[in-house]
Amino acid sequence: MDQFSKNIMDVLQLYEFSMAIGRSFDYKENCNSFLKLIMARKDLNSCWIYNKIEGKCTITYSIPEKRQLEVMNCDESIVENLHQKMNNFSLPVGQEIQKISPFILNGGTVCVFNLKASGLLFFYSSKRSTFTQLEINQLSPIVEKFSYSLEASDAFTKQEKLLRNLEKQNQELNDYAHVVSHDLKSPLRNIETLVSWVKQDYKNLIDEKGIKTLNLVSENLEKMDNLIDDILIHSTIEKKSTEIHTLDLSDLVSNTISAMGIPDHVTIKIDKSLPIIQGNSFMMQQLFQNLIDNAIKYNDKPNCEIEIGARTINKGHEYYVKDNGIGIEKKYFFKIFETFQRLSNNPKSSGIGLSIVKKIVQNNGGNIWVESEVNFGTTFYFTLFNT
Amino acid sequence: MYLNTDQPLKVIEQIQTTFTNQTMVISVAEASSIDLFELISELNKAGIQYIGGIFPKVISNNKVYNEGIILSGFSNVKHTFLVTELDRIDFEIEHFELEGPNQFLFTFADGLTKNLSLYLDRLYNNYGGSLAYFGAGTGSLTLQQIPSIFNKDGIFQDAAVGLISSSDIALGVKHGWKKVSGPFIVTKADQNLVKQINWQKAFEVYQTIIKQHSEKEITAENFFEISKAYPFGILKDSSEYVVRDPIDVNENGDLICIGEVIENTVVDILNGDAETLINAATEAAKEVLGKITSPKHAYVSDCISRVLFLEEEYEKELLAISEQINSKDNPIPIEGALSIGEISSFGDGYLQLFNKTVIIGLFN
Repeated sequence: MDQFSKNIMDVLQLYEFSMAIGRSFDYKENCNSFLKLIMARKDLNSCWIYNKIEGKCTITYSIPEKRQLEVMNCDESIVENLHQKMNNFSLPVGQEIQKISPFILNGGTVCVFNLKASGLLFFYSSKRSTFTQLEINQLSPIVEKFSYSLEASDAFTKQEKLLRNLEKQNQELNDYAHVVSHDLKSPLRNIETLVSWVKQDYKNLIDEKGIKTLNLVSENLEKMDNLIDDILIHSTIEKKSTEIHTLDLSDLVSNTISAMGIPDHVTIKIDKSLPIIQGNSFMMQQLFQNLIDNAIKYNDKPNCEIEIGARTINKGHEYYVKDNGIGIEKKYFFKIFETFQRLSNNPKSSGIGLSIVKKIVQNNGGNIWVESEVNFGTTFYFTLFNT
Repeated sequence: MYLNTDQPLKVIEQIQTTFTNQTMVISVAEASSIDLFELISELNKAGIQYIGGIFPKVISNNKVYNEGIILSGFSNVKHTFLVTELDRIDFEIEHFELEGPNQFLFTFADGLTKNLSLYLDRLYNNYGGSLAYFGAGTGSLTLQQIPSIFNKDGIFQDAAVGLISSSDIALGVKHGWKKVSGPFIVTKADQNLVKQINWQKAFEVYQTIIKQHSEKEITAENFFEISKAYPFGILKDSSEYVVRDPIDVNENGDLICIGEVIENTVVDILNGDAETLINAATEAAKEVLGKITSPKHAYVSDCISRVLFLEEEYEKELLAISEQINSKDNPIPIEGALSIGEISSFGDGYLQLFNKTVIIGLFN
């Protein structure tokens, strides 16, 4: 092969090596793809990576995978000294290298690449007396790129682990909220029954002030009952939203309104444009019920007017629920969707209703936002996308 | 030892007389009349340790046979193993602790299983360069996958068998194919399918190169007739090409190879003639000479496509090997099989699958 052809082949080989980097976010697969290729093309015997994990020098990857750890007498100072050199070099196998090798080495040479934060990479050849400086220079930028991909793999692994923990904790929290809410309902019902018995059995013995106090107890019990119901719904949204059916939202909203028992002063206008979608009926009912309930609760007008409609957007629909109620100050536009946030001291409000609405919309991949003018009314907008 | 019989008991008798206390490697030619299930049953009854494979043809002392069995005895065998379900990514290879230096691993693996390269990767991951590797890909001349691996448990497809022996081995690996065009980049590949070369449809690029070199029009119909003379060569730093054999083209214009071609591999297109191939066989035989003392036998794993390419001149290749190895005072049996993929580690280097290559193992 002439020098020109040799140069072309060198460049193409470096291209081949560089294309093998970062083919997976998984640390081992990333190493497999790159290091096995170098081993095959350069006919090497083994390779391994040292990294410092929790302050200890650890072999994080090796070919072969089965390590003869009994031969290792890992002197961390040797690894640290090599790492501190901050460069890449060829070294004949001597006692020091054998001490930090996971295999018995039979003469030959190692080539050491500094992976910076990702440790040290060793290539071993039993046949070579040296790795040439040209070869090391050619491989250095490629190995540097590989070291970045290892950092990315590491960050990805950490992120995955964090996400798994977060999901687990979230699930545990939901399970906990569900169990606690469920268990609280029973004594609450008992208290309510006992209070009504006291009111009935001792009505001649309790004065008006006492009755008023007992009524206050009942009101607070109802408030607590609503709160527990909402916590239960909030904690079970993920579980209950798995069954998907075809839903005619015009029918669904009409049925929801009928079931709610709307006061006489409230008029609800449903736009004919409500679409037929694929969704979970329980969740959709809950979504519209909470928004309608909210529009009624926070309305100070003699004629409460609510309007529900939708328009087609890219890959789904944008919905609105509009009222002529008390309105919301702009500074509360985000706060209202947070759990246990109430803007008024309405005893019927649990402070979770809008948080449930947000959770349902987000579970369906949509967004929710509010536009409002104090004293004139509020419009909640949300998007739901086709599944 | 070559035997052509349909009588399993004759095979047992021969083993018991000639190969006392040895582990047998049994290479069976595809067209042999012997009932393999019956043979396995008799071998098991006789308590013989063995592994085996079915090949398109077998080799014995300068001759190629369509029928018959090659019996090769190996001493100091420490372990034998079977690996099944090579078509699944999660197949497992049993690991044995190795004792002492100078060991080798001899393996037969289904030459048409899709994870053959992965099998070799995992073998190397188990033992690394602590032993030498020698082996052959099994299968049918039709290149249709068949159950072609056997041991005491039966006959298997998508499988491999092997043995580990603490004896010396000398390895010679050569092919004799030379560059006619390149370099090219395999820009898209999936396991053994080459889909794109230089960002264009692989078959179209391959057709153009062959046309430029030989004026021949390669089509789906005459594919192997022409492709057997134009393999791919993957360049390695310190040795000659690793050859990949395109054996067919599918309806998408993908070239089907024996063995994996990794995406972005740099390849040349190779070609050869009888002289270069036979010279390579001579070189492979020279490589093993003098590497071990008192060799007892040689096993040749020679690619079936070399026979299909060399045709009637193929026996010259065997003769060339025999002349080299038996040029010393003590002639030894030279036997083996025509294989679908050849397996070797170039001594103590990285384990790889080769095509269109002759691998000679000298054993004592």
